[in-house]
Amino acid sequence: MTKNELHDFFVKKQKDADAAGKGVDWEARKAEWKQATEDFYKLVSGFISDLSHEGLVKVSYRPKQVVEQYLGTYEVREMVLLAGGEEVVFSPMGRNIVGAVGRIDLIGEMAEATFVLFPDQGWKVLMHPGRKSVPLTQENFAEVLRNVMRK
Amino acid sequence: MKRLSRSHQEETIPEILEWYELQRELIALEKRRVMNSLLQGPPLSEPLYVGMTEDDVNDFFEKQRETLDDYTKLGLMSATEAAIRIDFADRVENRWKDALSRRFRDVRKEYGNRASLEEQILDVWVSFEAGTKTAINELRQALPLRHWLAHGRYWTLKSGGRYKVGNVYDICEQTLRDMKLM
Repeated sequence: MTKNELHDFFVKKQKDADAAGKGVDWEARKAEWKQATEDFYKLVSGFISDLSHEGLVKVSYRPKQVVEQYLGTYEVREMVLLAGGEEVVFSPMGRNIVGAVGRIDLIGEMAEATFVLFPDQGWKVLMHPGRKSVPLTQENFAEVLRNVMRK
Repeated sequence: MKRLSRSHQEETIPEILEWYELQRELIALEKRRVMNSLLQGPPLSEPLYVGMTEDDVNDFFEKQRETLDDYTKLGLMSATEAAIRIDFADRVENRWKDALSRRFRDVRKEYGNRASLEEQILDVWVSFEAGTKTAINELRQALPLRHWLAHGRYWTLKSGGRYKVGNVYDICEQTLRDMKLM
């Protein structure tokens, strides 16, 4: 391959990559996704509101940078729960997700769990093994939270 | 001495390389399909992929390629061993008159069908066909990789990382060519 052919090869690759990103409003996608993470935190806060009021769980937030193809580098918030000296973190993993439109991982000291946002079905929990997804309900959430925390 | 019961199911190393190249292409196509879905849809519903980020997809398909590489390296070295052992059996059972075949008959008398590739068969090749020495030395150095792959990869292999599929193919091909088995 000559130098010119190599140049043409890379130009074609760049064009293909650019074409793949065209026709999508990436800024709108990013804004929707950031809003979806905030909506998720509201939902989860509702699940644990009693515990928060009793002072058993402290909720805080901290910034996280995410880098994704076409969306670039952007900032979202992580939600941190502090319970009995143990910290669990809800960490947005990205908007560009296979079969879904967003993912937030729950990272505990004992394990991790995955929440996935489906366009028409809302948030679901990805179960292991089998990667079956079940709706995110207060009951499922309690179980997931217990699984990732120290017993 | 009992004759070798041949299956005639052995593969040649070019056949294995052709299979490998097809599998690599299929993995690349599948990765492109998943990546396209991730970025633009249509959404995939296969549970295997749902929930993966771009990094997850890259890691997943990198692992597929590594696994394919490992199985291919094992296949290439196993096919090479099979070709050498079939030649060994042919020389012994057909009572070929050359010095190498005569020596192989002694090996067969002593060790039966359990003659070791490394300890006996390759040694005899080097002793009687000096032209095979370089290739066989290279093959010997790669054999720990074959044992590691064949026995479940449970110990730390110090030198295995330096062998790519192409290296293993070249070593096997050179050995078989120098032995005139290819």
